[in-house]
Amino acid sequence: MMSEPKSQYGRRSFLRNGAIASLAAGSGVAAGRGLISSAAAAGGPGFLGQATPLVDVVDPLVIPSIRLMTTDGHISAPGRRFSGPQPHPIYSFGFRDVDDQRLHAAGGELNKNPGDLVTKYRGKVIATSPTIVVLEGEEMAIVLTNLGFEGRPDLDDGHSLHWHGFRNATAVFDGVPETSVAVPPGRDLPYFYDLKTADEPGQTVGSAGTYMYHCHFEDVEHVQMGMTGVIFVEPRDMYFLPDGITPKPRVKIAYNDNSAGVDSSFAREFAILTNEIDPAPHDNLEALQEFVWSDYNPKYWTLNGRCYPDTVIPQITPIEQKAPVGEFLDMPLVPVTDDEKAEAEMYYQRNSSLIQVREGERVLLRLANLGYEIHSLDLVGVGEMRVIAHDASLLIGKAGDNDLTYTSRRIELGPGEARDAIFTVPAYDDLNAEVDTLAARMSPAKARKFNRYLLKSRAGDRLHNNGEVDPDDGPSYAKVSDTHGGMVTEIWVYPTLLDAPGLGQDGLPDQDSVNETFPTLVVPVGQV
Amino acid sequence: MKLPIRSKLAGILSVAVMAGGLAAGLSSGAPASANGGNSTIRCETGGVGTGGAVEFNLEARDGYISFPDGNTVYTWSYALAGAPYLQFPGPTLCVDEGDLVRVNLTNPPHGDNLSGGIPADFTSILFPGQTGVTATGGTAGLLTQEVDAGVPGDMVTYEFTASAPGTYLYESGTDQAVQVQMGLFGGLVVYPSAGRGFVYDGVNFDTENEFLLIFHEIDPGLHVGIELNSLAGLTGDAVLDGYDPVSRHNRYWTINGRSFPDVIAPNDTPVLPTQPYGGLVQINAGDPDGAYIQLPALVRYANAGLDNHPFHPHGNSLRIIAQDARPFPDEIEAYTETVAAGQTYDLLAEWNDVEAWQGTGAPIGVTLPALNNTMFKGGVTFYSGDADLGQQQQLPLDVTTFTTCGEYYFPWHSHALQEIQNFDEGFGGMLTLWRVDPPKEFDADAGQWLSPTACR
Repeated sequence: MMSEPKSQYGRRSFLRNGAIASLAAGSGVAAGRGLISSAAAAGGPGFLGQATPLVDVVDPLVIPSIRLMTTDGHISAPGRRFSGPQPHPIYSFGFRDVDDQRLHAAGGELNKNPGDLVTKYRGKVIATSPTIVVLEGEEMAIVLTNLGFEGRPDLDDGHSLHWHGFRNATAVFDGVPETSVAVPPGRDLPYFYDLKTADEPGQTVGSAGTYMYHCHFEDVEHVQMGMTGVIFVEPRDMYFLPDGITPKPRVKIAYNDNSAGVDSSFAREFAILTNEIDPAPHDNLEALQEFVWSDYNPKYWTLNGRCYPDTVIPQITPIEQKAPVGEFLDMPLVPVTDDEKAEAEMYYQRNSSLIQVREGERVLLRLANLGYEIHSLDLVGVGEMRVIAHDASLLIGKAGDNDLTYTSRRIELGPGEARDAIFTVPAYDDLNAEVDTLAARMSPAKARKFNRYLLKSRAGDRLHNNGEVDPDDGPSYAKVSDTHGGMVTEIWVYPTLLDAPGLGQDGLPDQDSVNETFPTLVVPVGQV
Repeated sequence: MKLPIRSKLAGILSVAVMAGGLAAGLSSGAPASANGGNSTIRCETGGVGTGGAVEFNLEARDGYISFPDGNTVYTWSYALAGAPYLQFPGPTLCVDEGDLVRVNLTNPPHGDNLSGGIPADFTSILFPGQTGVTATGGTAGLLTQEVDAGVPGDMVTYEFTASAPGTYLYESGTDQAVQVQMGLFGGLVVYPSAGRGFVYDGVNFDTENEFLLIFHEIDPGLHVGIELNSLAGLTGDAVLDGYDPVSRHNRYWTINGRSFPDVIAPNDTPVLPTQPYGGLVQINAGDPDGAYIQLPALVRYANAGLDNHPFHPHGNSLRIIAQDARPFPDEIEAYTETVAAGQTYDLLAEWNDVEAWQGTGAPIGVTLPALNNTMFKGGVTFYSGDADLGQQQQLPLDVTTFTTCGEYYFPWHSHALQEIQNFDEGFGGMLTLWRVDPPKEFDADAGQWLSPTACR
């Protein structure tokens, strides 16, 4: 399944030089690789994943591509639940992928026309948007399909996709409706980008690193309404020897080898997007009212679109995207227990921020901020982080040989900024461990224990959910004694696989995809 | 869910045309810049004073500035002595490393809120980042010597030696919560001994493409209170009656004293007489063939506001050279940099055509929909209709484009997105555009590398 590398020259240059033949074969490369970081599609063992045809606008044999649909819907936050005596979830916008990413011929949904998708997906927003993983050296496309709004059929808003932070980007795919074009309801548009490697002409650095994507149509509204996601680029050195051709066993690194000697290797990675939610514009939109944006005043602070304690509910993936490996727990059609009720609330907020790790591992945090406030995140009790990159740029200076990485206990993150930080997991302490009830639910035989740490905002006012920290406020994972809400998530530290049997534990599996949790929750067939 | 922006952008159209006209008019003597020097940094170079000092005469002044939604706001700022209006922000003072710099500050009699001094009892100037600043004359204040409005002709003279190159602010040192918020600030640039083509010794840039972007925010409510008190004849502390800095609620966010789209109007546009500095960043794309080696543009950020602003260019990352006029040990690349209140940054900017977008129309592997299957917001656009650089396409009948030569426009803005509003109207506020023209071509007649004719 290992694919061939892209030519040293971009295809467009090739075409200009008249060398048209054999290109399709040469750059068919990564067509077998999916872009969405669901448990299935991410770069697990051997590039398993599915091509995405979308033959109307992209030739999948040339360019790996994914379809993201824009629509509206509701999301859940403490005090604003789908369930309970007074259901009042928060009206939102977002991008979402199709559930079934298999080829059309195999029953999938990838190359359906926009009209075929409306019935199933309009009004079923997912926010925040899927985390997208791509490989340096590939050309790629995200096809944006505007499904319109279920809750506001009177609005003819366009949507767009902005490649936030990508170098030497071009205007037409920049996603700003005033300086390029937007996608009207019922139409789609492929947003193209060429993820160049450092040795291609005109390049000084490669494309590896952590970026974002978001809608830029009526940006202050659509971004706040939830149209935000993380996209990151894996380095080519992860897959190929320096000749760029010879495949090598996949080693997890965030950036290519560098003469500064910065070590970007890691065992697990977690992409975490910070946002705030001011319910007023959400409510106003749903009630056909205007909002004065200079009155912005958030009441919820989120990680990957969820408030604590929802942040620790596992990753959620459609059953069609379930990978052949990994641990899965079906989401119940009729939730019974409190935990199941809390999980069901997260149907439309699928990105977990739960960080499950083994002691001694190097863990990469890909932190990005698409809120409108500056956030300061503390890693409590875990120790120090090594900040290796700002804004998808490894900190190695102009000539690439100067180690400018630094150690910190805190990440300060301005709106639109990203940081890559690596920490080493502290030792597992069996005496103070807690029982992993998630694993126990999956199988009574799975005995697992962990130590709990927090990654949280330093700002006390952002550790609340609309002024409350009451865990009884709707279905919740929180412990009764919990006094946190808002911008908080947990780090669960397990023993090493070697130690686990000795401690009478089932070990924590290796990570196959970004933000993978153990188990992952699976959306049942028929649910969207 | 916003009103159409057609009417607002129609105003820019005239401004954009004006930019082209001015560029053409200046072409004889001006540098061969695509920009025609229109929104590049506009330096005040000062006169020669006693002792060989570079000498500036500044007045504290009051007056009005205007915003794209039609609002006008009463402000205080500086002007060169004898100028007809205040300018907001104050004049950009440019000096060279080692210069003895002398700034004489006066506060003329307060008049009718249009062209007099400010209705405060005292005012002054601080030069953050400069060392050995001396202040003579006036009255001792909390932070420095202050001009006393009660003493006719009172003047304070500030002197320092510009010892370290870089980007600085100057601002009022009196009642700062009021006076800096009201607009008493300006930019100060110290060029290194290596010369004016350098930002620091060893770091050079394209002198045709040097830009200074000064950030600020405005709560019009605070300004209206002082305006009304002033019109009622109050001065001194009485003019501040009802002014509560804690209640500050910003409605406008500015670059060089203007909110978008005014930001992209050229320097000295006659429609903004008190806001003379433009903020359009205009460069040529790097030459893909490498025949013409183009130095990067220099962009200087200076945050004169009271809030921190995360500033984000579309199109490309930037190379950060220095913070607060002190060079970093090495470059750091960033696609967003949060500029703290009072902070400055020096950054190098370039856009290279690595994908061969220019001219050929080479296929890109994806099929773009026909233009009538896309949406143009408000019927006007900064898009040429063609994905390729330097190409123009016919747009749908009801769409007007501002492009003239297939140039690219990229927003460059605060990513605290509520700050790119004019009160409640989007695509405004703390936002400018980065205009990328096709690479320069060798003009045999002129004997030099110039922007393509259609772009000039």
